[in-house]
Amino acid sequence: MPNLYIVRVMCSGRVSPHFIIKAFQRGADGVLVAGCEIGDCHYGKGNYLVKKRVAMMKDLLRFLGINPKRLRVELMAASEADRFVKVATEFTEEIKELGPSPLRGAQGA
Amino acid sequence: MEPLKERVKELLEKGEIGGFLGYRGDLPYLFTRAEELDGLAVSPRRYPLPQILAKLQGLYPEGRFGLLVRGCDERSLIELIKNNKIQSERVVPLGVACDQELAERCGCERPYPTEVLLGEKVEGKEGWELLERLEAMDEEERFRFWMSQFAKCIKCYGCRNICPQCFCDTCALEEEDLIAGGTIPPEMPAFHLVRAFHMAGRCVDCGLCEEACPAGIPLRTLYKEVRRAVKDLFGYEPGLSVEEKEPFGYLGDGRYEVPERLK
Repeated sequence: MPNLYIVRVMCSGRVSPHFIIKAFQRGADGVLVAGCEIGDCHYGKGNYLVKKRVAMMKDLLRFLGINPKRLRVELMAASEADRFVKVATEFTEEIKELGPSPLRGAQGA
Repeated sequence: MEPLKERVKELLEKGEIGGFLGYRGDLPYLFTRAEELDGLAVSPRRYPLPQILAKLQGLYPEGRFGLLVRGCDERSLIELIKNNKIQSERVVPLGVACDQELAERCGCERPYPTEVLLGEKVEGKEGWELLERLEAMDEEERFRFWMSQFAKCIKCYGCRNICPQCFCDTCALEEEDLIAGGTIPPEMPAFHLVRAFHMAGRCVDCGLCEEACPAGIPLRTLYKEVRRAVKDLFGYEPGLSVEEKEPFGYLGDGRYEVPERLK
């Protein structure tokens, strides 16, 4: 089974906090939000916005007792395939160490 | 009551306002004639008056209204003006300071508006006990705490309905793709997590949600953490000034880095 499911969006700014919440509710052990480098946003400031959202969401997860390391934002260029592979592998390893999300088996999972 | 009644009477008679939104008995009431003002009261029960005012302004696009504001109402009013839900030139806020009893019952840090027409300013005391107790818990314990709280939810939407900052035309909580319909309790923690995130940069800590909750979920503590995080991460506190920009709605030059000490 693959351990990374890719959900493609037009811009990391399209990643609504709802998407992140839904992914965790459905039992995802981690959520990686990948976007373009700061300054490279085709739409202007999408990636700035997502950085703010993720920072806020991490604190909320922590407060509800879900390890904030399960959520990560990484900004990289579309051409940096090797970097994406590295980040995805690292993140997967980190999540493996943390084990299954406490929300596994929750409603809607 | 007299200074308030006098002022409202004056405004009504001069035609500066078409109506004054305050309380008659324990309920919100729109006073439109000076003769009615005998019934004007400052009830210790609270309702989200600014939320009602936003609806009134929508119903009467030309109307100008007086509004009774407590400390919490004023903070709500500021946020609603900022979010274009209330037109500031069409509202005349008249300030009332809460008495010691109400201030303590609400655990309010600032139980008075900027300008006080009625009552004496007293110092309140904000309740942080539960938040501190939660912060002292470990992750697993905190998770169990919140899950057991959210399990009490009967999805009455009381927290949303009473909230002066819930003003969206369509509500994410009713979106069945996000929160599955037909189950009680609603998906945990998605339902409350969505609401908590929406309170970021908005919640003015009026505490009405927790008062309204029939299940006794400590919602205010959840949103207090939201307020604390918004302040820490973005240096923003909702309800203080109309000029200050809200961090999620306004990007400015956009640059944002998580402060070093919080990484």
